[in-house]
Amino acid sequence: MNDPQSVEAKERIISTATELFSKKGYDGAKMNEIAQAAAVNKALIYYYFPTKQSILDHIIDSFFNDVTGMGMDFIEVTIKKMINSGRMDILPDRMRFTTTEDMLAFKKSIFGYHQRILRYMLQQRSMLRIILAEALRTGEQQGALLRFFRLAETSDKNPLFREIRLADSDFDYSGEVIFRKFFFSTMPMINFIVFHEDYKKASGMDDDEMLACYLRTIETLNATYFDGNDILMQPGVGTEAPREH
Amino acid sequence: MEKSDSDARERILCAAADLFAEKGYEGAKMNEIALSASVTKGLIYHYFEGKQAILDHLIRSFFDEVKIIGIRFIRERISQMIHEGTLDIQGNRPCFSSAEAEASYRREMHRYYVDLLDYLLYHKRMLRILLSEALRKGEQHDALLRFFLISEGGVKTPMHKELSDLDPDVYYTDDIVFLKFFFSLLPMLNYIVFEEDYRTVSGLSFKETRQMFVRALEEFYFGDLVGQGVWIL
Repeated sequence: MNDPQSVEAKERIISTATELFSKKGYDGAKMNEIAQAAAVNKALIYYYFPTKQSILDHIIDSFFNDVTGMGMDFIEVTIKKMINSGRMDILPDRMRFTTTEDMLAFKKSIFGYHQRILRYMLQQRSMLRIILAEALRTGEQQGALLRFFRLAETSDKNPLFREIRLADSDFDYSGEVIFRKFFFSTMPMINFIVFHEDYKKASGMDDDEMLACYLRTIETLNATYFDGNDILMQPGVGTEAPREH
Repeated sequence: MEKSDSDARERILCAAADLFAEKGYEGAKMNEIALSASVTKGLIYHYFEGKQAILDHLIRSFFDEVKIIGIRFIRERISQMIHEGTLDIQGNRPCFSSAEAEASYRREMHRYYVDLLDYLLYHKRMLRILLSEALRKGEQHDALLRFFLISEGGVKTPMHKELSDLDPDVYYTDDIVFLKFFFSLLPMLNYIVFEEDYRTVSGLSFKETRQMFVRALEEFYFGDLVGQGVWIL
């Protein structure tokens, strides 16, 4: 069943299910409706996906695969290259760049990476809505939302962490950094995407203004992590103690 | 109203809040609410027009309480400092007459954040309902946004209004409103709602996550995180 037509049908099932889960909630979306909206018969859905849960799992898995892949790309193209060529060194609490140009190149690259993630997430807003709604259902232990935590975890099970650590064994950060990343960086991005339309309506901003405002905010917030040719990896490291210069 | 009457009404609200949080607004049925509150469905309809009216009531009274906490803090603490001349607000930035004034402001803010956080943690069920409602597509239930958004057109949050009555220089730019909404308010709601889940995956204790949260919030509001001394009130 790998001919173009069936691949197309499978894709249709996936995208229709994503839409319906997002609109009606996982419980509210019925297999009949998915079949009807995807213009396939129910048997074909069951051929690819034995249960409704398996459709959801598939959607969520491929979402996180994409996100992880984008992270791996950034590590490969920027972090590993800069470490291996001696332009960057990871210290326990900071990344140190050999020259200002190296730091600026990294800054530009990581900003580009954030924008790619954001663009991807904006495309996937139905997905994020499902993840958030599922996480809000009580008793749903360890829902997909917490997989964002897994992506920041300092464990060898996290491919992103493992990959950077292989390039520089000093790479590490505290549970508090992960906590902040989750609640003050990942969650704001998810909320920005999920509540985008509502905020737009309430504030009178248009799409471009919203996006510009978000990117500006990220830049302001990140500004404190830049310290000369260093980029800090601990909250408040550069600011709590009075600076010498 | 007889005591038993108000009891029954309270029981209905409480049962509804539990069921909305557990099953979502759509999933919770009037029959279940009646059963769980040990009242007849007729009595529910005596007090409330319908399920929507119960939800509206719950959300309204929750926001009223949050408003009271904020306004009380402003009246009791901020206003005193403004009147003494130890605090002056310019835009969204508090300016102090001395280092002691700043330290005492930080202490007051700390207590306020902790009190607010604890209040919200106690009412996490309500926040779960609010967030779920905000997620329901095409819903007119934008209570969350309406309550916290300040637009330049003059729609102000009650707290903002209270502040600008005290000091007309209080002014939030669109960027500050945006920053507050997405990078402080929603993280707070998310923390409260997902705190338990987060503990499960991270292995942290409640005390640790709460401390981390308050610390992050303080750095955010006291400018450390925002950098260049951008204070937000």
